[in-house]
Amino acid sequence: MKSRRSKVSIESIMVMLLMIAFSIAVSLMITQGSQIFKQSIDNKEEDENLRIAMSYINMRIKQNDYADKINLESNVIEGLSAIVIEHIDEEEGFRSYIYYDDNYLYECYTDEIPTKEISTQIIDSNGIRFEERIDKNQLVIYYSQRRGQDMIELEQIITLRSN
Amino acid sequence: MIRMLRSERGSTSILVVIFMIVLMIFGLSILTTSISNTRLAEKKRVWLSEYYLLEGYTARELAMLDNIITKNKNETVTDLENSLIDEDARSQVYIKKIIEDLENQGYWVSLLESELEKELVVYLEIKENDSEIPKHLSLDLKLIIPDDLLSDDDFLNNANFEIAGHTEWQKPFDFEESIKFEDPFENPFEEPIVNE
Amino acid sequence: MKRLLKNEGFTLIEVIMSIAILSIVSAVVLQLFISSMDLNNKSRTIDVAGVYAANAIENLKALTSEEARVIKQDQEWLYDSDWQLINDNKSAQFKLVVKLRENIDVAENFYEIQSKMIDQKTDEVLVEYITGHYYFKKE
Repeated sequence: MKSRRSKVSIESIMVMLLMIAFSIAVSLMITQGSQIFKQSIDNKEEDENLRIAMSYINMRIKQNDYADKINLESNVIEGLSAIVIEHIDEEEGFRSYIYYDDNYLYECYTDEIPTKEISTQIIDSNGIRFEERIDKNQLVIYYSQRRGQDMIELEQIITLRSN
Repeated sequence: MIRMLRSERGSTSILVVIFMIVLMIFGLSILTTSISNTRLAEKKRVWLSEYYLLEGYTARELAMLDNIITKNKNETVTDLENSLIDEDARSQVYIKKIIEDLENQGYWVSLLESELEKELVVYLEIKENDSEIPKHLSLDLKLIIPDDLLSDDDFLNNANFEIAGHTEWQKPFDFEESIKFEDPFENPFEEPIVNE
Repeated sequence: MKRLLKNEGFTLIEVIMSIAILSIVSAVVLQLFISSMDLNNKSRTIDVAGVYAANAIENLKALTSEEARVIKQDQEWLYDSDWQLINDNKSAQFKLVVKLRENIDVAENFYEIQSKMIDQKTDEVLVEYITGHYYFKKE
């Protein structure tokens, strides 16, 4: 009995190799593409969160910049330091407490003692730190940003225009 | 015709087209996201730019006001030196003079008197001109009234005012084309018709 | 029965055409992905540049009138691509230029401030803020 030898031309093998190469390339492309997609969306979300946090704090301060009414106080809520804005006129007696805790920026607007339960979450954030430079009448806010593997801080200086 | 549909030839092309559509959707979605991100960053930049410009105009107004106050202070001192006025208290003369001058020039001034002290407040509001939702900068200035016991030189060299408030505000966006619904309870006190 | 053994497969030309079309389309789509990453980076750059430019202005507004008088020349700061301050002009990616000019026509002690962040590599103005400040006498 003759052993069956199927004739396999080299051309078919080459074509199959080409198919395999193509499929490997496509799968690589899909994996990388999905990574870029995810990275892009994460970057965009972080950018937006930073922009919202900066914008919110800036607006609160600019809209309520009266003399001696904006201060940085430590140990306000659960040992956290917060920017305290005292309101005047129609909102007399009320205070806004802006603080950062556990990945979120919070604001507490009340005329009683501030607690975490009555605070509202503003936006999530990697890290926000406050500092006061009294001699220059400035409030400094540090936003933590992810850059590669580590975090760097973006410093924003707000000079209070009122005395 | 039906045989062509059943023959399943060229099914690869359909798969290719479907795959193409899916890829394009992904690509377009991520591009739209990035473009919106860039546009928001641009918006923030433009807002801050306009705000700082507005602050520049405010500083100009402050400078003009300061000039007026200094002029009035000088006039107060010279008037009292030349004894053109009967009153003794320099601060009284100064207050009267400055209120009259500022009100003549269109500034909003108010004098708050209590037993302990007098407070002279000027209120300035500067508005953006060419914008749909203009930004306003409201300045509350407390004019400093130096003590009568100070010498004339100290009176002139004393600070003119303090900024008691420097606030920015904008009218909230008004939705012009809001949907208006008919009020289903238009006549709440109308007696219902009862069929007897 | 005959149908199952018919063994119809793809023709080679079909496969080649689909490979060609797919590769062209994927090249286009990957280009879109890359553009989106670029746009994200650009928007982040504009944001951070704005913050640095605004910080310079805020620092100027915190000075007294004597300190402002001392600053005669334009101030410049150079940053690398990670926004760290450096001194070397050649490897700097960004440059912050702050100008303070007294405008005596308006009043003495009235200054015009211009803060500009420039991308050195493309010579493009990323952020420009123009403002004014009146250094009035304080107690």
